[in-house]
Formats: sequence, C-alpha cells, structure tokens
Amino acid sequence: MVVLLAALVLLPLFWLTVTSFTDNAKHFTLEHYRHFLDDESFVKPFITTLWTSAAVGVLCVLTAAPMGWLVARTELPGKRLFRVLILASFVTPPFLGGFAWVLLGGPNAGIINQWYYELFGLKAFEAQPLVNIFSAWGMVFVMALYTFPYVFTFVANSLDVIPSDLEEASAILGAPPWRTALHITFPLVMPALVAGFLVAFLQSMTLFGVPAILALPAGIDTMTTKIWSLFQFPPKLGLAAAASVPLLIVTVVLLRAQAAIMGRRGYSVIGGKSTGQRLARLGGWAVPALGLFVFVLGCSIILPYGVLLRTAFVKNWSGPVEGNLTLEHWRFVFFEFSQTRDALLNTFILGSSAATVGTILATTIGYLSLRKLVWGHRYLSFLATAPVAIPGIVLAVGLFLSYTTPPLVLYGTLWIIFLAYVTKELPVGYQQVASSLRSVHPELEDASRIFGATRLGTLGRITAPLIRNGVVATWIFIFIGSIRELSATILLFTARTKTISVTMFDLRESNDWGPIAVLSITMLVITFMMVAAVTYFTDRRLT
Amino acid sequence: MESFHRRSFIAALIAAAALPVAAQETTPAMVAAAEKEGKVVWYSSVDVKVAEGVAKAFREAYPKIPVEVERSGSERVFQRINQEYQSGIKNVDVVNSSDASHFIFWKDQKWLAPHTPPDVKRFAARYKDPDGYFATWRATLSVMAYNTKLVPEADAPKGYLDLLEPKWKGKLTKAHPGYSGTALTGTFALTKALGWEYLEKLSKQGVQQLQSTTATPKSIASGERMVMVDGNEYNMFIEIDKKSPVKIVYAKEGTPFVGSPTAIFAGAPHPNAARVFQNFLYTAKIQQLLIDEGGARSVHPDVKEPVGRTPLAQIKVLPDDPVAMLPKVEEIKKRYTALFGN
Amino acid sequence: MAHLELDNLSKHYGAVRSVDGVSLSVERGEFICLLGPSGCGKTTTLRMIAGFLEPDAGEIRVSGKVISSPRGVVPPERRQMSMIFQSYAVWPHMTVQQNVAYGLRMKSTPAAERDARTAAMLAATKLAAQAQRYPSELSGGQQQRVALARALAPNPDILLLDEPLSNLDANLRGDMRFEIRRLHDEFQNTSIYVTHDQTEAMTMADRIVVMNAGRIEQIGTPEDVYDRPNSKFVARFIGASNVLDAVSVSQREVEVAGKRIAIGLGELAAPGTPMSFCVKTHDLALTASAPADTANTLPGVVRGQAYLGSQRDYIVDVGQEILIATPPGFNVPVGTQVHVKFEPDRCRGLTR
Repeated sequence: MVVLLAALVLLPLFWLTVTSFTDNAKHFTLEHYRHFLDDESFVKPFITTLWTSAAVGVLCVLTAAPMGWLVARTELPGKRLFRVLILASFVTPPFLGGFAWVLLGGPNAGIINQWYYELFGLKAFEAQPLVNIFSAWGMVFVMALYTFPYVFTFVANSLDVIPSDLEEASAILGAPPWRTALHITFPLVMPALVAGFLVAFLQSMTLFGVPAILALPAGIDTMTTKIWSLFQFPPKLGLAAAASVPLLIVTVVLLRAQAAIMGRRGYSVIGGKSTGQRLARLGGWAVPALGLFVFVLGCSIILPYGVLLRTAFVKNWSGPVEGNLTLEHWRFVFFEFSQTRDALLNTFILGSSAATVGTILATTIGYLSLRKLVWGHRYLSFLATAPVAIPGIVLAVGLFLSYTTPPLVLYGTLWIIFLAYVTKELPVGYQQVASSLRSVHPELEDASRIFGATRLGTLGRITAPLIRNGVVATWIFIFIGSIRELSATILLFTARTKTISVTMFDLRESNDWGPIAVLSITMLVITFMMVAAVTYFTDRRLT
Repeated sequence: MESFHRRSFIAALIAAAALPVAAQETTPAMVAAAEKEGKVVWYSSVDVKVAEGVAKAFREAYPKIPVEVERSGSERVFQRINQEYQSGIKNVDVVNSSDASHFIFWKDQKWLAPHTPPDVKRFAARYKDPDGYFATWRATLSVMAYNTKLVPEADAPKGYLDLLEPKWKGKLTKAHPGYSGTALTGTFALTKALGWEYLEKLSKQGVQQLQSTTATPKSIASGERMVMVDGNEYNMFIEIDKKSPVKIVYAKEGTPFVGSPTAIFAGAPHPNAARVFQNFLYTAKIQQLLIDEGGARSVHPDVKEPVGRTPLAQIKVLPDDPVAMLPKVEEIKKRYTALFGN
Repeated sequence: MAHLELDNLSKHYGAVRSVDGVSLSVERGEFICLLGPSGCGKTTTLRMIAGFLEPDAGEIRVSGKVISSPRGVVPPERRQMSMIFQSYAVWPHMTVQQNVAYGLRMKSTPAAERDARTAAMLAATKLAAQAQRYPSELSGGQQQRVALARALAPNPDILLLDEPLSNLDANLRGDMRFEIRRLHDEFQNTSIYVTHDQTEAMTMADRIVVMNAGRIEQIGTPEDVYDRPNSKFVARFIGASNVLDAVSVSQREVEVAGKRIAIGLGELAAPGTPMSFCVKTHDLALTASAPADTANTLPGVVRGQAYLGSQRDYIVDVGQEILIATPPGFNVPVGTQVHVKFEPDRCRGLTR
C-alpha cells in the first residue's frame, strides 16, 4: 500500500526534478534554471503570477470575510439563499466564469459595456469601457469570484464555532462593539483569514483556464500558461520542468507557513458548553450588507449564468435577443459536432472511475492509517495529503515525464489523465473520509467485536454504515472535481482522449461562443445534479 | 493499446498489398475495406462548422464510415500530430492545415503516404506536390475587414499602412502566427512585403491578440473590435451571409493567399477509409460546398464562384511560399511573440 | 433604595413564556442565587440583567435608573457590570494577564494602576504564576479562576455569574464555592448567581430566589426556603422532603389513606379540599411493630432500602411511596409491614 502510493505520488515529482536538471544529452545541468532566471519572458510571468494571486487573496479576504460574518453572526435576511448561491459559485468551474465574463466584460461588445454605453449615450471605442476583462485585473476579478467561497467558508465555519460568550464577555467588561470586534472577534478568526488567503492564493496560482482565457489575449502570461506554451511542439520539457519547480516551492512554503501560523497558541476554542450564537441586528446597515451579497453573487452567478443561457440560444451573442433566437447551437453540439459524444463519454468514464478508485483508495488509506493497522501508517497519511502541494499543471508535467517513456507508456490513453485526477483529488478525499472516520469512536467498533464480530465484519456492519455519508460525499467531490479539471488535462489529452473541458477550450480558440455556452450549461447541469445527489444520498440519522 | 496498434498495422499492410499503386480511385473493394476499418480520423484547421458540414456530406455518401473531426488551429494541429508521433501514438488518418510548410516537414520525415485523388490530376501544377503527397484542398485569403456599424466606409482603411494611424489604436484585432497557419502564412507575406518594422509599429497599436484567423472575423462581427488585420476570407463570407455588419478590404499592398493542403499519413490506422475520404474531399461537389457554405476559394477547375464575391483574378494577391517559409517558422513565431505577446 | 430592581420582567419566545412577570429587589452588596431546574427562566433573567436580551415587558433599574425596558436597553458595555460565563469564555488568544487586564483597559485605567490591580487580582485568585500562560495551557479550575479574576478586576457594580461551576468536577466545585463567596465578602459586589444546584445556592447565597416555569416560587434566606417551603415545587426541589397528597378535614388535620394526620405548620386549605403537605425524610419515625399510640401513624410496606453509611433510607408504601431516613442500625427486609409516625410540628401544609 505504502509502495503503491509512493509510486503514484512521488514518481512524477522524481522525474520532474530529474528532468529539470538534465540536458538533451542526459547530463546534469543547471542550464534550465539559469535560462529561467535570465529570460525576461520567464521572470515576468512568475512575477505576474505572484502579484495577481496575492491580489486575489486580498480581494477574497476583503469581501468574503464580511460576508462570512454577516451570514454567521447577523440577522441578515435571505441567509439560506446566499449560502446556496455561494455553494453554487464554489462548484462553478472558474474557466466557465472566464468564458462568461468574456461575453459580459469584453471592452466593446461585452453585454455590461453595451448597457453602460447605452445608458450614458456613449459610443464603443470612443469612451473608456466600464470593464475591460482582458487585463490582469480582469483576470484577478474573475479568479476572485470563484475562489472567495473558500475564504467565506473558512470564516463562517470559524465564527460558527466561536461561542458568542467570548464576545459577550468583552461587552460586559465595557468594550463597545467595535473594540470587541477588534480585540476579540478579529484575532479569533485570524487563523481562518490567513488560511483562506493562502488557499485563495494557491488556487489562483494554479489556475490555467482563467489566465488563458482572459490574460493571454492581452499579451499577459502567467506561470501556468507559460508552462503550457513550453509544452507545445517541439516541447521544451527541461524548461517546463524547471518552470514547474518554483510553483511547487511556493506552494510548499505557503502550506508550511499556514501550518506554523495555525499551530502557535492554542487557537482552538476551549471551555465547556456555550450558549450558542447571538445574532447582531443590522438595522440600516442591512442595505449595504445586502448590496455586497447582490454584487458578489450577481457577478459570480447571476450574470454569468444569465449570459451563458442567452448565448446558448441566440445566433449572434452580442446582438439583441429579439429575432436572434435559435436552437442551432444545441443541434450543432449534440447532433453534428463529432467530438461531443466522445468528450462526454471520456469525461464520464474519467469522472466515475477516478471517483470510484479515489474513494476506495482514500477509504482504505484512511482506515489503515487512522486505526494504525499497517506498517508505515504515518507515511500513508502523509503521502495521501502530499498532492495538495502539487499544482495541477505541475503534476501533469511530472506525469507526462513519467509515462511517455518505457516501461509504462500511458500518454495518449485515458490512463494518464485518470492518474492525474486520482492523484490530484486524493487529498480532498482522504481528508473527507478521515474526518468521518475520526468521528466514529473506536469503542463503537470495539463494542461490535466484543459481541463476536470479526474486524472485517465490524467494518462492514458498523464502520461502513457510520461513514457512509462521508464516503458518498467523497465520491461526488472527486467526480465534480474531475469533470471540471482543465489545468492538468490540458497537457495530457490527445485527440482521442479529449474531455468536455478541453473541448470547450479548443472551441474558444475560434470564438465559437454558442457551442461553448451549450457545453457550459450541460456541465453545470451535471454538476448541480451531483450536488443534489449528495443531499439525496445523505443518511439523515447520521447528521 | 498494444493489440490496437498491431491490428491497425496489419490492416495497413494488407491494404498496401491489396491496392496497386496506380489505382487511387475509390473502388468498391476500397470502400468495403474502409467500412471494415470503421471510421476515418480527420485533423483539420477549417472552421469547425464547415468541418462538420464536410463530415456530414461524407456520412451521407458513405453511411458506414463515420468521420471523427479534430479541429484546431493549423499550428496546434501540427504540434499535436508531432507530439503524438513522438510518443508513438498513431491516431490521425487525414490532415488538413493552412500552413503548407507543415506538409514539407512531414514529407521530409517520411510520415506521409503518396496518394493522388482523381480530381487532383486536373489541378494546376503549382497547387500540388510533384511527388503526389499533398495538394491544395482549399484556399483562403488572409483579408482585412471592418465593422460597418462602427466604421463609416469613408474612414475605412484601404491597406496595411493605414492601420498605423493613431485613430486605430485599441480598435484592431489580429490572429497569432504561433497558433494559426493562415496568420503565419499571412504574417510571413507581410514581412516580405513591408518588413518587420511594419509589425513593430503595428504592435504599438494595442492590437487585440486572438489565436485563430477564424476568431478575428467573429470579433469584429460582435463589435468587440472595429478592424481586423487578418482573418479568413471564408469566415468573412459566412458572417456576411449571416448579415453581420462587416465588410472585407482587399489591401492595396496585396492580400496574402493561403493554400491549405490535405494529405494522408503513412501510419494511418484506417488507410482505406483515409483514401476514400481524401478522394471525396477533392470532388467537385465538396469543393463547391467549401465555396458555397465554407466561403473558401477552390482551385478545382469545375467550381463556380457565387455572385457577389470578388473573383480571385481581380484581387492583388501575395502568393504563399512554404518552401521559403519553413526554415523561418520558429523565427517568425518568436519575433512576433516578443512584439505581441503569446 | 434597592441597588438592583426587577419590576414585573417578562420575556416570551413565541408562545413560550420564558420569564413571566418576575419582580425582585436586591440590596447593594447582597449575594442572590437564582435557583431552578433548566428551562425555568433563570439564565434568561440573568441575560436580561446583563443587557444581552431585551425584555418584552417590565423594567430593570439600577439605583433607580431604568436600564432595560421594552422601549430600549442600555448596551452591556455601558452597565458597569461583569459576568462569569458557564463556558468561562476565556479568550484563547490572550494570556492570563491580558484576559484579566481587559476590563481595565476598556475603562482606560492608567497603566500603573491597571498593572497593580491585575497583579492583585491574580494574587487573590492564586494565578500569579500562570500570568503569562495561554488559556489552553491551563486546567479547567485555573481557567475558571481566570474568568473570576477577569470579572472582578474592574471592580464591577454588579457581578453576574451564569452557572460558573457546572463544568468543574465535584472536588473543585466545593473549593470554588468557598472561593467565590470569599471574594464576594472581600470585594462586596452585588452578585447575581444562577444555578440549578441547591447545595451551591444554600452555601453561597444571602437570599435564594427559587424559579419555576418563568415565575418566582419563593424568595428567602437559605433557611427560609429549606425549612419553610411555600409550595410543592419548592419543597420537592430543595430536597430531602416528601410531598404527600391529602384532603383537608379541618383547620389542623388532613386525611391520608383514610387516616387523619395532624399538621402543625404551614397553611391548610378549606375543609374537603385536596391539598398537600411536606415532611423531611429524617423527620419521620419508622417502627416495625405497631406503636402503642397510633395517632398520626400510617401503616406501610417496605419496598426498598439502601445503606448509606451514616443512615439507612427506606422506600415505604403508605398508599403513596415515601422516602424515610433512619439510623443505620435499623434494618428490616423488603416486604416487612411497618408503621410511619408523622410529628405534627414537622409537617407543613402546602396549598400550592
């Protein structure tokens, strides 16, 4: 088990490192790194990547932290709806948002700019557009729209477990609300904010779709698009590997920093039973608070979904709707476009097999390591969580290097993409299953064995039913994560192994927005059906 | 995978043995063998809807041989095939690319199979490879164009040098030679006619950089940009047929001619289907379809230009020169990327 | 003038009357316990006093000034109160010293005075050695003392305590009871202490307020509520009492199981009316043979017994099951016919 997992996780990293230090004659060289540092066309994307990711992190914290507080701690109306919509932004693939924002925020034909020009009697090209999505800030904006749910969830969850007592204790000792917020609430959610910032940073740093859609047309490269362009024929594998290593290092450093920050002081809230949450009245502040939600969710959900729907049903996406309606794009995608069927099939095969194998793997590893049943159980949990530190595109470079040369040639088959998905999703799956397993007290299993059941029997009769919700959720998480994957797939697919996401990416090359919108909607429908399935299959007795 | 390769390899051997070299017409035996192979895989850089239209026509003629279309930009098609061949993946049967230099490269690599469809015998010599490896399947012009709602006719640019006027700053769109074969061929022709200094000046005009020459016409049709520096003439015809507010400009400096050949790969997994399909591609019927529905130019002697389109003879053309371009491809892409970004 | 006054205070949650017309007057420096089972409204009352909840009806006054009414409440931070929470609510991101100094900081006390006062409080609560520790490094008892020191440091007008000992184990709880009372005697804050534990209330309070279903059942000194309960609820809740159902027959007698029992204390209902009376378990005499004088005696059958070392408890069925504490040497088996003697001046008539 340990060896299998090590091969899965470490082999790509091994080849990545080796290739980055090897020249064409297979000799040791630092040339690739020297090239990286000397060449403006590498340093600039790296700097762009760092500052845009940091900007996304800051933007997410500035908007999502108040949103988290408003939902967790105030009498804001419509909280349940907001939570649902934030979940929707969470599961919306960022590159779909990128597509939608091209249609919304293109400087001249974008729907928002059209409204803006019309409203103020301006003319496109003469006036400055209201938004120009083809820019570094456009990219930051769209990435933030689909990463803010991380920060929101961290903040809201952490406020959920901070008892109101801690704030009331401050109030009764004479602190006005703003001082309580400053001295008590803010420091207590600080770890969540830091964690949220780092996750948002890492997410943005590793995204491929949004920069490729929004920044490339403006002539701006990020590390992911740079690595991708190095992969075009003739592939410069040594350079691509060397360019991947800095991303890997940044990720590892940030994750360590996070662990260090979270680990100091006993931040976990202590003490006994608390009186629960007291909700603040908003009064007149409800209006700006609602405004924040309407703006953020409008930009991440309402407008993008709206424009995709519109584009799927009109001939010319920038024209008016009247007299422009058509089902042509649907007919084309589902009856003429020969790639649709294969791409859908590949996506389903990959999604369900990665989900099934990933869930089995995560559950087995979780059980073996948490119940300390095999040698090396500590390495197991380390290896299962290690891929968190590997950005998708870096993993793809590693997998490409590992499986295009004998003994195992997997490039050109679904297997290599399958491996990428399983590896990439393993940490999420493992965490999910492990937390379910932790909530099953070992005494529940001991009780079964004392009454005569074997370990295996206990696993089947007691443990499995108790962690069922976690396992179902894991399967669906991995499935959703896999069908939307773009940043690793983009390097690993071949003509026969296309998925829906790369098909859409290819269609974008020729600006075929109608078919893209149709496929986007299809993908969203599948995703939301899966989310609904989680709810449906959840055993309520265990929640 | 293993058995798959072996089977297709044996099939190729049988096909090669069964077919006398001269007999390149579609025979019932060839069709039967093609049907047994099950399908044909076609990589093409033609607009995806035109590609699927061709595939549909083929399906109507040969219902038992479905066409798998893999559409991408010419340079991407080239990269994909090379990457696949380097990794030992033989997936492609028939290829079409708007960068004619690709075919010279593949021919040098000995990756192509010689095959002359019956119709090609009647093509002028300059539209086909002397050794019979490829021939111009379609042609397009890399034209300039503008949005008629946003630009009055009097203000419209007449040629490439007009685009350097300050008033066009931030209003231009252009395809990328690193991605599009048409853009590469056209950009190469521009550097020959106007020099790199022209592109340097153009790069300071805030040009929207799209990837494909199929994308730029859509950009001006939607009004995202006013003027297109290069784009497929055939996409322009499609837009004009859709009543989009656009108009073509044949630049006074000349319009790059972009021949787009097709060829069969020697390692094609479906060799008979490839030949049936290749023959079909050059028939007058499909050539006419390319013109009527695809807006392309054809070098087939039997086709008719529709009314309303400027006949090729009346346009000042900058001819393509794949042999001269091939050694310069990397340099063009690199210098261009340095000026315009990726 | 009373220091703290609750005047007809009410709080409803939907149809549930959590606090229903509570009136109470507390003198300066007094230690009051609100005692009752969970859900009786005692914590809601306390949180209204703190200003975390606003009343639906009635008023809260401090030194005659209204601080809470349905028309508005003074926010908690302006009430000059302190509170100790059930969960301690010690801030995990601050050291012990920072926790304790917090209230003084909020009052902008000069640094020197603040440090001195904090040090004094830490000494008083025996926490000086832990001043620089974080709460997660402390035991439950130490955290409790941090909460206490923190609450007392600003020398609050009124100290509110919300079941502060319920998360401690039994030994510590005993120590902390005396600790809290000692600190109260030292600093003389007006204290309102909420608990469901009658021992806590008995050992600490100047006066106990027994609450049930949102209403006050009885207010009095520990002796009052223990010796002179005024209702069935108080008699049962304060413990060690049997409450028997009976029917009044005269001004001095009731009828139980067909026999007359003379009642010396409390009030009796009008003759012929059902009522109750209570008697402590150790105020009943149990004999195996019938006594010569069977007046005020009921026959019964032993249903169970338990040896507790210093006494032996019996459950006896006299038509109703009652609990009787006897000397440990008195030992009869289950099923034995026995006789239970009621002393009239130990029996208290209850009309509600």
